[in-house]
Amino acid sequence: MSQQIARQGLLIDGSQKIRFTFDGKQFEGVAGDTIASALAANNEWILSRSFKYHRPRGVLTMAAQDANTLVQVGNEVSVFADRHRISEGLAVRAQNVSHSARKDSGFIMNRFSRFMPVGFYYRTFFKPKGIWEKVWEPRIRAKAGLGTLDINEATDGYYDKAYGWYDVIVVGAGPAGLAAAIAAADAGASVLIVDENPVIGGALNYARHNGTNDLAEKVKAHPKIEIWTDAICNAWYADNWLPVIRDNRLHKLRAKQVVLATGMIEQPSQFRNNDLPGIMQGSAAQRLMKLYGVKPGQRAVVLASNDDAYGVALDLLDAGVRLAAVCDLRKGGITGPNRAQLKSRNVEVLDGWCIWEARPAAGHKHVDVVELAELDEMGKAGKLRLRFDCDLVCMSVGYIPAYQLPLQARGKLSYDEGTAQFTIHGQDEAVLLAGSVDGFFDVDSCITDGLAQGAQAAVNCGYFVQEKPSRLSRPALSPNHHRPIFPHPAGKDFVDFDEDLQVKDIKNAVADGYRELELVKRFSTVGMGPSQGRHAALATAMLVSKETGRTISKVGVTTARPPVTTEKIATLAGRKFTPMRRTPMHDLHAEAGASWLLAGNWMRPAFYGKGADDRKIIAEEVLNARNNVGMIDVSTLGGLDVRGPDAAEFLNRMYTFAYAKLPIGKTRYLLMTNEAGTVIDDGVACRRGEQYFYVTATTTGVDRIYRNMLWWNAQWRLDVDIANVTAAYSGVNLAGPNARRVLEKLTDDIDVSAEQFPYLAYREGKVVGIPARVFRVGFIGELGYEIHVPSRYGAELWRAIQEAGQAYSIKPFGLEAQRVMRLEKGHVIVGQDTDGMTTPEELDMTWAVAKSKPFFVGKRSLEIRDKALSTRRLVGFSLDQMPSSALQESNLVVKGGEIVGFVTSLTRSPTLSKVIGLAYADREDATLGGRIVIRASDGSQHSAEVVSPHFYDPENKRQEM
Amino acid sequence: MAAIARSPFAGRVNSNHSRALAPADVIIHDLSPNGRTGFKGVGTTDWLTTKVPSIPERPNRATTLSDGSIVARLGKDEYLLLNGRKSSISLSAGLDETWASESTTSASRMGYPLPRADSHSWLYLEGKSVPEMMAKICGVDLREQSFPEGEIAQTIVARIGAVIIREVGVTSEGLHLLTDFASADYLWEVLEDASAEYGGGFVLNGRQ
Repeated sequence: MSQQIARQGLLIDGSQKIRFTFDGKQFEGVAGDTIASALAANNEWILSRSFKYHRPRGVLTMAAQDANTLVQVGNEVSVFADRHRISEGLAVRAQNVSHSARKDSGFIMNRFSRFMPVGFYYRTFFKPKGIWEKVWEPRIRAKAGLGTLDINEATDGYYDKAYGWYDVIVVGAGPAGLAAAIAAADAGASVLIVDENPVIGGALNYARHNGTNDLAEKVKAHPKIEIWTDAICNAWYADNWLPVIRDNRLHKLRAKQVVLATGMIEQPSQFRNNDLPGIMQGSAAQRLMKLYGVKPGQRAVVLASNDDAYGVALDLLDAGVRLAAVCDLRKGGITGPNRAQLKSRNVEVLDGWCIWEARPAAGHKHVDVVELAELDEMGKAGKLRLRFDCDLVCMSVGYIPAYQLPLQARGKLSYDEGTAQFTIHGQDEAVLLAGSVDGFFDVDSCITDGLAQGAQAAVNCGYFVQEKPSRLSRPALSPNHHRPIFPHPAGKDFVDFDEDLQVKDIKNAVADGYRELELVKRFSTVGMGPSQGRHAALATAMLVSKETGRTISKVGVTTARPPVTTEKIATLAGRKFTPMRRTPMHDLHAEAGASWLLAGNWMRPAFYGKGADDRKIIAEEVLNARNNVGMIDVSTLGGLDVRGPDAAEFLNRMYTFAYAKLPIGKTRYLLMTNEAGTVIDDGVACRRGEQYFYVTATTTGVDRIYRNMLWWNAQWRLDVDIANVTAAYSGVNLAGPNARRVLEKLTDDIDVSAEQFPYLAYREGKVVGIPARVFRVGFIGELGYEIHVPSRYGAELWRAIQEAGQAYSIKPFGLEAQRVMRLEKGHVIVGQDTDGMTTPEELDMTWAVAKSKPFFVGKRSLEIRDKALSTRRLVGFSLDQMPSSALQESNLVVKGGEIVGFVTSLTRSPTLSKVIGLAYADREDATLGGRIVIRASDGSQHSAEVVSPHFYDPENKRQEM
Repeated sequence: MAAIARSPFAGRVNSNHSRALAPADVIIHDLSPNGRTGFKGVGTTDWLTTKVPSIPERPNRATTLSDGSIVARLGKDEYLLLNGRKSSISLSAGLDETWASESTTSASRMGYPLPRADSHSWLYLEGKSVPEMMAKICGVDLREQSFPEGEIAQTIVARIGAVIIREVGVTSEGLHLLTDFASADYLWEVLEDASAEYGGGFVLNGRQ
């Protein structure tokens, strides 16, 4: 481990030096280096510490597939060091260490591993009672976790999402994927090819293979093919919905056909200390050499069970690495072009040998010696041993298909005991598999298969293909060894590197009665780490199969759920869309110093001006409206045009009151119940014509009410047209004793006298020259006019009213003052004074229910509910003073220790100078002069007198003047 | 009475947020001051057929009249009419007046007018990156091959309801976008954000 070969690799530019730090120590890499490759080039092989025993861990796959390479970069945790490229000044830290990756006192846990058998935590930490919370949990929490997130630090960028549409999406840009893309695109399909690597080509870029091809160039030049590299397809969802993460953007893609060419995942062998830094997959060593120009060691042992291993050995030789030994798990009849080539270079090969044990250098920091064992006839390690000094072990013993996406696409796994191979079948019909993920191993077969599947995908999209290539049969032989597991009596033969699980842990889990793989997983946590069983699933299945006497096919693998690999919460969150609506008078309110609140998604002034005491401001707004005149922006109020021959009948069915005989030019209160008879909205109906009603609805309820109306009329088929015109009209409620005087200054064609425009009347005309719908209302209990004009003119109307009202000291009031005044008047707010059970009877609003009507929504339920009335009613209550433990809305009404209701509205009335409110109380107490008990938030109880909810002007003289 | 032309984007257009843009891949024009109207309900198609020279043959299709006005068919009996930007005659105002006058005397059903000038803001988005930008805020494929001239999408843009129209006969890649009048300020921020990637944004004056 000293001098590196000249840095020449496919992904790097050796001339551009880049400095970065790892655990505070400065290193130099080159442009294109990943953190892992740059550290390896500096002979720094320890990237992390293992989860439980804090064993040093290094490069295993160089493919961002394993937890060994998870590091912290800045404030981002669990970054794959073998994917994340270095940049100038990048600060990288090891995770889950007490000091650094090199020096971690937590390694002492390695000595106590025998006291931590599989599932020990289920049996250890719960006795004696209370010890978990007091002792174990704090300690384990302090120890556990990967990385440290500073939640006070700024986020690291802008994340968003985008949709995308293609005929065919090919996942994986290896030879099969490239071929599939070309075949589909040649047929005319629009194709996107997605690959997680920085360049296309897959194994063609690093594995040893015969011949060359121009697939990559063809793909790059093809006008119908879009290439996304550094892009991760992280799931498959129904209807070929694919989330693809590329930089800080989550692409939500749809494809008519998906070709999964996700390739294979190389598997480790299990022997003692198989996790030491310097022990890696053969493909990892090839990636280091070919992609990054890094020599992975000086003296290597290669463990083989397929011809790819000999390709690794040849590549090592070519890179100047000496081969200490090449051992093959197979015995007899072994052929292969790479093996033949290696033999021609006079390299001795030990056939029928395994690695029995790897021994570490001081401090477990690297592999130092390997002990090989000759396999007996049963394939077990025998007594004959050989030792070799080495600093590199390359394992090439087999693969599993990268099955995560195919299984998410409803595929099923089978295991062929003859070829020791998982195969996938039964996936969604719009998903095709191509290449090695479907059991084809050599490059030519993968290309042929890719061409066939790409053409098929195009045909499935409706494109014509002159001569569709047929698929090959799967080869009879596979590169997989049937059982590369060599348990050691002293253990540390790791099955799952993420979770520090050894062969005996899996065996013991089965021995404890957990025979099903899903149970073994939950008991042992195998496959639950960041690499999600990529390197543990097959070995676990093999072990469980042996221990339970079942086939691997029967045992299977655990469920492969999305996401395929790690993803950031920021990626999922993306850019936040929070629609906000503003009335046309918004800027005028802002100029007047409005304090805002949200009503639904509308921004509304709560009150105007800022002072030390908001309540004082609100009280002044109330008193001005009561004594002079006020104005409030009611543009947010829902507006619905209901037109047609059946308009009156429609309203009769939708609302509880009767509208058939409502005269033109009159308004009538609206109360809506749902099928259960529960009050869900209210408003006012203005009859503009025989077949035309202008209907208002609550600000937050109108969209739901509109949908409700469409839904019901889809069944009734009444001849009526319903239009939601909420945003089209701006509204001002001009209210107070001087309201008439102000309005008469603004209109020439509406007679606003009490005789000609009485309470509840509706008129149309022009107000400051703007066509307006005007109706007499009394929501706040004063003489009032609601003036609705097209939204374009809302601001102009507001200005004109303000100007005309100056002589009467007009002032705008906000939503808070309106709420106070409506409460003083005893008007309920649906949603605040009602809940999911409220009936009109509980609100004392049966006057708004026309029982003689043959039908309205909720009528039948109300008839039933009227026969067995609820135990509660809404009552008004008052107190002379607010108790020191201030009462609040939602405080409970109690009686004899039982909850009988709650406070729905409460205010200190500026007009009446006392505390007033509405509350649900026991029906028996709902009589004037009765008492109810309200429990404050601090638990104190306060008696209040039941009074009429019409606290202010109960004779309605002011609003009807 | 004030001039008819009002826009919910007026505050933004007049503020220092807006700027004169160099040619960019996404340019957003505020057409809200231009006239528009709508009609809906039983008899609308029959009535409108007698008033405009060309009616789209099916819902979610739009035609462009000789003066540049657009007739967009949103449903079996629902239409949105957008004035031609260069036309001196206001199609929408004419139709509104005609409807008001005929509705009092006609024995036939003729639908009902909809206050589209007040319920919907109106933007025109043009530039080669418009489909790409829209893909960030809308789930409908608006690329020309999937959403050709004359197509209409009634959909959701950045979580608010929208009508999107690709005009017939316009050479530049462009889309009409009509959304909730009250959400204009929100939409402004969404589009400024989404278009920034392409060097685009709102222009000071409406498209001519």
